[in-house]
Amino acid sequence: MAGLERLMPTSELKTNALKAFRPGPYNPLFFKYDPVFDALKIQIVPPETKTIVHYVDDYVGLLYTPDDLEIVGLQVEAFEHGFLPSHDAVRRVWRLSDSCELEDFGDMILAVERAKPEVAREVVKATKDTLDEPISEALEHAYA
Amino acid sequence: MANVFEATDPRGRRVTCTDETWDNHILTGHPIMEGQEGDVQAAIQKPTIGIFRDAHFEDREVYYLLKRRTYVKVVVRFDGDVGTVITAFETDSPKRGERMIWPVSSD
Repeated sequence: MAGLERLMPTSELKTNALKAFRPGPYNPLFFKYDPVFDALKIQIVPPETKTIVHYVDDYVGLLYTPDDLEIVGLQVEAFEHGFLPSHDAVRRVWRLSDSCELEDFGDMILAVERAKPEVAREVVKATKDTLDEPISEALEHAYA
Repeated sequence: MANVFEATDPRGRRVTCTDETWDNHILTGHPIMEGQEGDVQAAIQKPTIGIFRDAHFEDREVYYLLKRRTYVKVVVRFDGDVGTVITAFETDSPKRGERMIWPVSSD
């Protein structure tokens, strides 16, 4: 795209927060899917955290906090429209997490919660080629 | 459903942003946008460089406004000449695959 400059080099972004993150019941990954914009956000900080998007390709942006430049998550755009159809493994776990076939609401919530880390892992695997290796490894660690 | 603002882009197209979009999509998805209604409106009225077509959706157009260290990015869905803001957030970089549609080069 002509004209607009990249204002922040990827090399300036930090991975300390991702490396220090230990996912668990008291330290969850935060998911948010916006069906109107068709974007999935997966982050290690609560949704009210202020973040900036740093695009790495035409689907994926890293989310980082402006004060310390720490990467805290990913935003995947055109998620259902374009990203899922080209990533079978992500599509499988996403459909599972999105399933309404379970009759019991509690079972459905559990199934969704169980599927979330798997969605996160598959998204990171799918985006590995577009990310610098240290960032990719830090995301894999955080979403493990 | 009330509008947070209405704006007219440089081509004369009218764009609205509803309070439902502002509260439930922009602020909940991107809390950094709190208090930036004026910047979103300005991005539509006087976009930096130009107006871009979205990388994946033909009916979406993208406006950027350069701030100090970031751009405010606004994504608008058009139905004919009438546009509706669907999201807005801060980014430090353009997205690959977006192409400029205004102004059009005369070369």
